[in-house]
Amino acid sequence: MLEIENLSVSYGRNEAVRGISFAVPDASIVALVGANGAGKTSTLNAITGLVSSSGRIVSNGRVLTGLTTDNRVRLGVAQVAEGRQLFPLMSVRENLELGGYLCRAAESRQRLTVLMERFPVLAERADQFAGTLSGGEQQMVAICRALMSAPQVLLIDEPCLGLAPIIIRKVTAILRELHGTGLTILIAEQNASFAAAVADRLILLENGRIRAEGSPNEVLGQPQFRQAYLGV
Amino acid sequence: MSGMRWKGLVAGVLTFALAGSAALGQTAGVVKLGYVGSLTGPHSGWDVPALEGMQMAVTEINGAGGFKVGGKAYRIEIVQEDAQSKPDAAATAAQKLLSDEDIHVVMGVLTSVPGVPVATQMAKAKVMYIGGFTAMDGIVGKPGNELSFRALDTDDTVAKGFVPVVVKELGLKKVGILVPNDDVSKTFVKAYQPLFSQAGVEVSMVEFFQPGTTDFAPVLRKFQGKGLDGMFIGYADPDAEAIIRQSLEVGDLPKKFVYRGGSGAPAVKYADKIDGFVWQILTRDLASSSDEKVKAWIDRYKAATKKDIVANTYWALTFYDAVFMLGKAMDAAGTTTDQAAIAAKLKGMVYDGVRRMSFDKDGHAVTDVDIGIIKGGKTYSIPEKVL
Amino acid sequence: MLLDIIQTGLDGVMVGSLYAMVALGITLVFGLVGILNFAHGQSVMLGAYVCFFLVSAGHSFWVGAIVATLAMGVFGALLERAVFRRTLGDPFAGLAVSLGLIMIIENVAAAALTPDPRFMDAPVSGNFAVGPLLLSSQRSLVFVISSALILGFWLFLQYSTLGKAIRAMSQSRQGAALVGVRVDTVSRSIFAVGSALAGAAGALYASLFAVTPFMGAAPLTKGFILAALGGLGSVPGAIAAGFLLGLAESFGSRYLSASFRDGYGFIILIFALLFLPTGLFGAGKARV
Repeated sequence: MLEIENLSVSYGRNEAVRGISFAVPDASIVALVGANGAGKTSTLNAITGLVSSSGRIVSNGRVLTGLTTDNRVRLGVAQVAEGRQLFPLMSVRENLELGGYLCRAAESRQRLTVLMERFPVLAERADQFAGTLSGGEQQMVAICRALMSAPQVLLIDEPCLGLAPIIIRKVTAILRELHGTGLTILIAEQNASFAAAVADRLILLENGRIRAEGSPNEVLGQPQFRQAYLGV
Repeated sequence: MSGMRWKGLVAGVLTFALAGSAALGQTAGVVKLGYVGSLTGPHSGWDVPALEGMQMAVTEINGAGGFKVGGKAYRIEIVQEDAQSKPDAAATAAQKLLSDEDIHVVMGVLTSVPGVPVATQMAKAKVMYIGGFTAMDGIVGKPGNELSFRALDTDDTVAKGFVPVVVKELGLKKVGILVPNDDVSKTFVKAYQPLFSQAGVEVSMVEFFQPGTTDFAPVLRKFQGKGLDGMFIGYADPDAEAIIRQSLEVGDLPKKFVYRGGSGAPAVKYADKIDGFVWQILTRDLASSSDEKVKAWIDRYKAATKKDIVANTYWALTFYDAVFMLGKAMDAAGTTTDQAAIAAKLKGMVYDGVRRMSFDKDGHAVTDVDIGIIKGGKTYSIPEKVL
Repeated sequence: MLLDIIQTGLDGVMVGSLYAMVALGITLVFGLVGILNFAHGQSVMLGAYVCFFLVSAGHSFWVGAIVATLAMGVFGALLERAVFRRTLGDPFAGLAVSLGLIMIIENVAAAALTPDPRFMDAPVSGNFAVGPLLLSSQRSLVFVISSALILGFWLFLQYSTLGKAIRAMSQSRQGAALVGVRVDTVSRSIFAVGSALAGAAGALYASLFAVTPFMGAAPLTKGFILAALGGLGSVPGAIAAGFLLGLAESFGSRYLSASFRDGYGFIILIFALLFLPTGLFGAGKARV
């Protein structure tokens, strides 16, 4: 369970997130939806400590507030960041190995084997530079790299950005599968129909505040939703 | 203090002074001699010993009752200013001396960078100036600069005697020249090349390297396999040491070195690995001299300065003899203030001091020098008769 | 003739290996922290003096070189803590500060140590023959040591955990942070590592060339040419460029004119920037 209380993020005078509170229950997928600049990425980055924030962040009973990013990773939080942030001039294998940077070598090796068996394309491309992969493959490497640290909570920023519809379906399948393993997942997604297809709950953000929250059908049906997206 | 008592005191002091000078035999005057030089900064290694030499000469002259002009005895008093090894500070120092109307002769500065502004200001103000730095050669003898002198030999003067001695001493037949690409080198290469030919030595190649070069290996390779037996290696200690060191490293290169500089320091560490190194001592060799006059001067120097003789000490002889010559020139001219008359007497005078020296009609020094030699692991010097 | 070309080539790679070591530190710091550290040459100079004084005091060259390397590592860490940490994220401030540091360090060194050049006794002297080739003993030793350090450093970057973290960080700072790399600590350590390499290069310089307070300037300028030539931030680029510059200077001085020695590097740089505007290995391809 990931609990966020009164979280605020500001860059200088510009307040990106304004005191939001929400929770992601164990083994569920929650999606933060909203237009560009609504505060989705800032919220995810605040949870992993990439940006400084005020408020309280608790993951599985452990307070993350004030910890460095590496310590949050140690406590089981992993993030697939905006733009995937792969290491383009390192091989797929090296990228995945670095995902286990904080783990013991033996554990790391074992997890790598499991992931490669599960996603044979990773094994095929193991020695290729990550930068040479297609967008979908890169997204898969990014997610698997995050899984290498054996997280309890996985944050994914824009899993579908720039991907073809056929690939989006594949990503959806992977997320569903992860959901099935009991992983707690928080995604930030602009594509509302994709978010509605994978998530148990949606949280609609607008200008750093929560405008609506509930099951996908509840949120999509609300007038705030159309207003937040279309500005009408 | 009341006016009366003040006047009384002045009168008393004057009486005492007059009585004191009367005791010297005649009424004594004081000649103020200006000194400008780098007493601080990187060039102080040259100019501090040069001042010490002047002070020695002055102490010796004054101790013997001064020098006489027209039967009157004069004492010398040095007025010194620090050029700080910088041209702007040197110009200020020169101005200070020029503002003292009692100073008619100035000596000093052995390095060209601070030296040039001093010499040009002195020449412009028509004040007699005896300098030591190399660039002074371009100032001495120019129309209007009749009062400018240089107390050290020009390159041409030294080279004439130096080259034949070196060729004989090292047994050279074919040499290469490796010097920095600058004006000083270009000038002296022009002077030395024909002298080597006259001495029967072939100069088979001349290479100019970029000033500041530290790695000489590639350019030294050009000198390999040319049948050379000697290298002429410029005028700066760091370059010379680097070239000697790297010649030994690279191998298949001559091990005899001719150096236009004033010190044996570049070769000292490699004395037992090379076949010979010669350099120019523009005054006298103080390290291994057998000349009685030099030995006696060394004792006087040690007593006067409480210092030991080091590599730079021989620069103390730059102006030492010139101070005595100046006294004689003033006597001959019968004046301590008419600079043109004094300068005229100085030119052409031959003086057998610690150095045997003279000034030619332009004001260039023509003096005997010593040639320093490291050969067979031994360091010694031989005199070069220039005069 | 062929022999001569080989000899000249060997001279070139020997000094080239030293150039590469200095360029490595510059490119690493730039790649990771985005600071062009102009004070880098001062680590070369101070390292040379540390080695010189230890050798003059009767210690072996090896002791001198190791102490110089470690001392400059500490010096780099101190500089980072005292100065560069405060200019992070402001490249112009970093540049201005490092230029100021050059002035301060050089002038303090000149005042304290005198500007006189000093020559250190090398651990080996003379030369030796390999078939028809005549090789300088000390230059060969320097080449072996610097190549070993460069190779060792490359292996460290390729295979060690910290090395991988450094490479990862240069490719994506955020990505590295998210896998648990402490990016601040790594940034700091890279100053120490770069400076230590420069210190080692300084000790090696001292075994061949004169030690003076101003000796850092030439390796620094060359290091920057190389870092730019190799593509700023690229380790293989900086290494390749180092050897290339050594060869260019060596062949230029040998077969063209020695009075233009330092010009050859700039000619290569200008041509490279005109025709390969992103460095020897192309845009962002061959980072750390």
